[in-house]
Amino acid sequence: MKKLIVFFWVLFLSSMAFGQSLDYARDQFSLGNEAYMKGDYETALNHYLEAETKTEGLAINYNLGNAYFKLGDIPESILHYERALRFDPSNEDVQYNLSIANDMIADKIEVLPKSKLQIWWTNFRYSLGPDGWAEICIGLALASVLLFLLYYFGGSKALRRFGFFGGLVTFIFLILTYTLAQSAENYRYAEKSAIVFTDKVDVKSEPRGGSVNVFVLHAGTKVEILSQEGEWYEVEIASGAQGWIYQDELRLI
Amino acid sequence: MKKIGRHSWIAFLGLVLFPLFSWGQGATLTATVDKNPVSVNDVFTLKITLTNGKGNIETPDLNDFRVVFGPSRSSSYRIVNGRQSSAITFSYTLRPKQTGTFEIGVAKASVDGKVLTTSPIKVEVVKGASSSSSSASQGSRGATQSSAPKSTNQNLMVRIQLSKSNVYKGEQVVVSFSLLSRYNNIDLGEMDFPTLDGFWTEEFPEQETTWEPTLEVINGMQYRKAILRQLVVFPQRPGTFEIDPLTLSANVNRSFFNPGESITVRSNTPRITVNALPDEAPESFNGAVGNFDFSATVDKTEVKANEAINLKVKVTGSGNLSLIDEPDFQFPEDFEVYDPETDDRISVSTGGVRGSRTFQYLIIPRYPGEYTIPELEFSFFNTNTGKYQAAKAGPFNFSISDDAGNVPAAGAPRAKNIVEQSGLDIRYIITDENLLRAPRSQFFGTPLFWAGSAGPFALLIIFLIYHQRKEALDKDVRGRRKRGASKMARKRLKAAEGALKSGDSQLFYQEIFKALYGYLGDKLGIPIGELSRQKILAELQRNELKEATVNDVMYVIDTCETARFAPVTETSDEVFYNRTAELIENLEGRLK
Repeated sequence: MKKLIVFFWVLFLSSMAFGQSLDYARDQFSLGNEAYMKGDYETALNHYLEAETKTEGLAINYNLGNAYFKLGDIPESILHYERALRFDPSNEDVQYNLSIANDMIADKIEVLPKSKLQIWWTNFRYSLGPDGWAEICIGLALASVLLFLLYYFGGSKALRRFGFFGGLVTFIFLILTYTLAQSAENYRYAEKSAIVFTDKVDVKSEPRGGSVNVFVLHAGTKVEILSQEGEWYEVEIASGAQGWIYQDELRLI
Repeated sequence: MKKIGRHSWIAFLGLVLFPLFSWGQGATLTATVDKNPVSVNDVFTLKITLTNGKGNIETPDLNDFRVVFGPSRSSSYRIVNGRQSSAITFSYTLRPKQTGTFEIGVAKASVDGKVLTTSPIKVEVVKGASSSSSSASQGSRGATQSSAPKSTNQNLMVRIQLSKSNVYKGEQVVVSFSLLSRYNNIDLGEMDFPTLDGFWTEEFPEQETTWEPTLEVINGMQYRKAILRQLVVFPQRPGTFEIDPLTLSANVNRSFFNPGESITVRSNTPRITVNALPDEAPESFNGAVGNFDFSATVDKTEVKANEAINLKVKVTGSGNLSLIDEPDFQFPEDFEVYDPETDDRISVSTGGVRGSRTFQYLIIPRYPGEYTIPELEFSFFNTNTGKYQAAKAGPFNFSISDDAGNVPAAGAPRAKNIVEQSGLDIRYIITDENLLRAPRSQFFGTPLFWAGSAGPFALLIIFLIYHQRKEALDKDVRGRRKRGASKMARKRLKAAEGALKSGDSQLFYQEIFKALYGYLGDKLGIPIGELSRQKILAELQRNELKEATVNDVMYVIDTCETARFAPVTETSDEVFYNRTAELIENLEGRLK
């Protein structure tokens, strides 16, 4: 019993600390917005960076991307727009600004066109985020249990049958929703892609400095990370070309 | 080298000669020189004359000579026996450059589509003093009269009269060329009107030269007067100008017996002073000098888009109307305005030039809406007051409605304004700080999430297990009773056997009854409180036992009930005991 009390006390304190740091982040965010509105992007950026230590999500990354863009740091702005998209891949403002930033970098990579269904599926999967799907999970769990209870204690045969099949279907949906939540979480936090930060990078055929240069990338280009070998990342660009890049040339999204 | 001549005759190439009346005979073109041969120090005159026609005269190449004066243009017309004839003459005063024989080339004139040419003239230039004048005109078909000009002649005078001699630039001046004669008989010959450089001229309408009805008296002598020509001139630049004299040749006193006397007279040379306009001209001033009224009208103020509107701007009055440029107005952007049509109604008379000049603008509004043409301003220099004066008209308001699918009136396709993104920039930041969230504050995957999603199932399973256990427990109580039923029955039967041996008949039947009743209650799962004859009967029948067995059970129960009150006589106690034991054994096999 004593242990339980200690546990709750710790939980309460930590939630208090969380709340305070979030307030700090919000203050910094507002100060940054004021500076941005006046056109003082340098100050805005500093406030946003301060806020970033205590928060995450679309808004902070989007504004950071804008501030970097205004200061002419295109690779940083692309990195933050990409991070913002992690939280809502269908956000139009982020997509628009990212496309403008992408127009300003050296590399133009042919992107394989996506079908409407693909786009819809991506948007659907990540639209609610892990938490949205998690909440639906709980709802489905409750519904499923209630339906199973109906199966056990239903008065008539029809009611019992409804309870059984309803419960089964709801349970299957619950599993699907859980999978979606997990995939949305992976998309958000699993670091599978990166932005090139060095002005000019020779992409190598092997994770070794002396190996053959396969192609050249420039600052601001997004790469998918396939694997890691020591201090080297195996990357793939949107056109499908693959190679190895030293870790210092990249920053993970 | 004098360059004047070259300049002037180039200017003449495009000259259009004024029309005259009906012509008695066909047009001819002649070229004459007044001296040939000519001394190298002398000057001579080349005259190119077009008679009875109008057209452009192309002068020949005169590079072999220096042009001392000219070309001077003169025109004349005669009325002989009611027949009119006219002549236009270009005169050049030339000086030879050196001795020798030179050819003056061919002059051309195109009249009514036909090209007239002169023959070339060979001019012999000799050394020494001027030779006597002997008119040698090769190829000339017209007669020329040459005479020593007499500068003064009391009986014949020509005059140039100006209506004003001190004017502003652009102010109109009436110039009259008049003839004063005391001769009874006069044939007018060549008239050499002065060129009026620096003046814009408006000719009076052409009219016959007639003697005026009244006589004019000069120095006590009476003269007949005729107006030879009148025009209105507008000085184009400030300064003092002397107008060249008018030279007139005439043949007087010709009669049947007398060939007449040829005389030439020169007019006076009046001076005119032209003053510049004051500096403080208003912005809308564009050169109008005189006295004007200004008005502007539109034919419609409510039209559909793409329908035409006419804006008429009218300047009425007296002054340099022909020199007024179209006013510079500000029209709304969405109006398509065509260059205005200019319509002049001008009359030239001794009062000057008066009339009106109208600018008609065709305006096509392209889009619906409310538009305004701002106030139109026209300003001019008023020569009566010596001040600038402005006149205003408008503003005009228009209400343009949608053209409702009309075909554009002017046939022009309706140009749509495409909203173009001119500047490329990123979109604005997010300003709502409440959208911020703590890092990794994700709900998914937290214990709370698991409690919420897996918890209900856990509770369900726990509940179901508990429920099953309880049910199993219930079932167990009945099973124990069932299993212990025969044991219990045997115990009671033993007690009955003891009672039988001791001879207590009442107790014996009581024990038998208890044994069977308890056995059936346990075996059939009937709670003890509910045990009754009817309940047992119903349960036994439900278990589908043989009727004999059921009857046996009922017999034993009934006998036991009876034995409580009266001694049983029909059977011995031992037999009854055995029968009951047999029955229980029998039931044990039947009831599961």
